[in-house]
Amino acid sequence: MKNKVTIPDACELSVIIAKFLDYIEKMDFGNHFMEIWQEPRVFLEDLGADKETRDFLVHVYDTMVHDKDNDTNELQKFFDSVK
Amino acid sequence: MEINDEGIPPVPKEEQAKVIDAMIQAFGRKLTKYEQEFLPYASVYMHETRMDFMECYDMAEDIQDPEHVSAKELANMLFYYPKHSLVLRGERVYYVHPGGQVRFQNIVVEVDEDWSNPRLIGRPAPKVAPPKKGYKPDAAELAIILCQLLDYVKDHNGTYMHLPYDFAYFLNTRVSSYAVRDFVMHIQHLMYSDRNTGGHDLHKFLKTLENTKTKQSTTKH
Repeated sequence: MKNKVTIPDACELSVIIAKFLDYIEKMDFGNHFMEIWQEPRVFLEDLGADKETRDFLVHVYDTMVHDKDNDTNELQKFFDSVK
Repeated sequence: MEINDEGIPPVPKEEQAKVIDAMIQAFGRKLTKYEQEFLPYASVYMHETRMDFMECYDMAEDIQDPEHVSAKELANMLFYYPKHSLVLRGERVYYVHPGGQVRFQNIVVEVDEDWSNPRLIGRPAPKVAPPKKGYKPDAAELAIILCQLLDYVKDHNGTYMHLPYDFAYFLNTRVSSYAVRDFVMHIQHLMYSDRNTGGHDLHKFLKTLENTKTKQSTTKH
């Protein structure tokens, strides 16, 4: 089965990154970080990412973690496939 | 100012001006409106307190709600660490937002007892150039950076993070070119600047790139 993937716009991603940093800055000395990576989809929504962007980023994130844990190169394959 | 009710003497106006001058010299630039707003608070504790990083850290541990500590609360705590110096020593400057938030910044300014010889201690941010007109980085690369941020947060869960202040260094090791780094840093700069000034420079900048590249749709196997 094939799923449609939308590559987000670079500007949108840059703004999300900036907001992410802002969030971390405000969380200094807090213990709220767990919520970010346990529920990245919710967190990304809070940062203003639309559904397509969230789907894309969560897929990239999951693949990246998978590669890290299993010493594979699936993320590169994914990007090659969507270029 | 409420802080004075707690027994901390006000910094005379002429001394506040010296602090501002010292910071301008040390930063090598004019202060932003935002920085000027917090300076009356900053100068009070700068006048009273000198502590090393660990003391800062220990003190912050004592704060029940570090996100929303008030200027008054912080001043009370600082009152117990008076060492009659001018600027915090250590890794970070510790100051209070106008809104009452605690904030650390990776900039330490030290001056002599007579307020002279201001100097910047610690690591200044790398020079970041504005992106070239019309330049837009590769979205896939940005997505990876974003996911690495998520991963970084996971690895540093619950611990103190230098990331917001060392972000340029974080990016240096993860981007394919400095153009990508500069683009992301520029967005961050505009976002912060707009917040401080009430401007809309980020929106204007993004508008100029609107037709540069649109979303691409493809198929994931």
